[in-house]
Amino acid sequence: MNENEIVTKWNNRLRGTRIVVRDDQLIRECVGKKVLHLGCTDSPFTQEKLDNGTALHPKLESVASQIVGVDIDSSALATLGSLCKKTDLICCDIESPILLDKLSGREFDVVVCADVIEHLNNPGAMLGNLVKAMQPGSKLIITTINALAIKLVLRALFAREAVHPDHVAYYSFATLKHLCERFGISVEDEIKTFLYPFNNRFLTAVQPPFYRLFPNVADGIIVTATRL
Amino acid sequence: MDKTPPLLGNQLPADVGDFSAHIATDDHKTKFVMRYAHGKSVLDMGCVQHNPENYKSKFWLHKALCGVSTDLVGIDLYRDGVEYLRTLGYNIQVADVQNFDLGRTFEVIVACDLIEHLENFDGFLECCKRHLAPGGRLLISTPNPWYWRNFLKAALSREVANNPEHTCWLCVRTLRQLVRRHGMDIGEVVFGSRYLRDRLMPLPRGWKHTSFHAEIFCVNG
Repeated sequence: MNENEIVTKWNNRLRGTRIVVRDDQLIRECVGKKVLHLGCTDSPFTQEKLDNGTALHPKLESVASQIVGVDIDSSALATLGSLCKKTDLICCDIESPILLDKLSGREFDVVVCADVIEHLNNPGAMLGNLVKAMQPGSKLIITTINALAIKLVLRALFAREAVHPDHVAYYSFATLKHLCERFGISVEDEIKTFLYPFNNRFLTAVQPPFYRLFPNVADGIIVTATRL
Repeated sequence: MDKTPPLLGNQLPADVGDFSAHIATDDHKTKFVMRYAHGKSVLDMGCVQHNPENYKSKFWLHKALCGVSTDLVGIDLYRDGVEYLRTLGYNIQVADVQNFDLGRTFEVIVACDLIEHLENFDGFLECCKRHLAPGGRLLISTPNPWYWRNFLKAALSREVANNPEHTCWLCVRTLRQLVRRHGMDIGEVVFGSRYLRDRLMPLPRGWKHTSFHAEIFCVNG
């Protein structure tokens, strides 16, 4: 087998990718479900997002039957707690085994890990915790920046990178799939992509038709997985 | 970790087209690593490179390091591969790069095409720090996420080829932010590609090269 044949063997077909609105998709998945929301405060933008109505957690709380929120930022949790009275908020590092003690005795239908994994030093520890906290059939939904997003590629063309100062890695569908499978979490082949808010009216207007044609290079990816 | 990750990459056969008695000293990765390893004690991590038959390849980094380092130790998680290479006389041990202790330090630690296989960057970087001699260098190579062929495949063919064992992508900025969490920083960065078609491409380095290599050092020496 030569190098070209090996590379062909490594090809990952991205089946039926479609572009969605991230929050709408997560809300749909959480309707009437017992939900665990990791990184629930959107810290350090908690107050700002609560004020302008873009915070994800209140939206999930409004549709879930039960919801537990976990975050490492205790002051942001206090801010969120003043608004989200139905949520059981837990202050914990999601990479720490202590999380399992804090979640013991609870069951979840859906675990939401929205734009968190790219901040982690040890994503394996988080997945190891989740696989123990989830029941067979529980869903894990991971959203993150798409490593193959055209905006990142275009910035690279002009020798620029716009990276959140706390991000330490990028993920694509294939890398997330393999990472989850190492921990006995099976990833659905159908993937969804989404766009982050953009401060340019012209580009915001022309984006949707472009990304309908090329959904695999949109800003973010949503991967849905199930514990085996 | 209480589990051993599956080593899917070990099912990949060696590329017989690369077999040679010579070392490809003009290869971008070999050149970068040899420059730092010359006359130094070296730890080569993930040295089996998927298939022990790769020891015959002109691109097998461990062979290149044997020729320039004063003292070379290799580690890899792939037990069968390690045992096979030990029978050939190489000083290689079985170890998980995310959690190991060799009880000594090295002037240079080489981690080429390795970090993108890991699930625990924390454990990996702390182990590297513990094994680096004062003033030592950690050399990390990883695929360039914005290599033009990756992007075109994602956009047009809806297929992206990447090693089935890869768990993430890193760019220079994210790698810098990651190592800074562990009291380290990046010095030199070199982009490179093994393919002539890439090197001749009139594109910026961040697009045309398959990989980049970074020299990493401890901030406090």
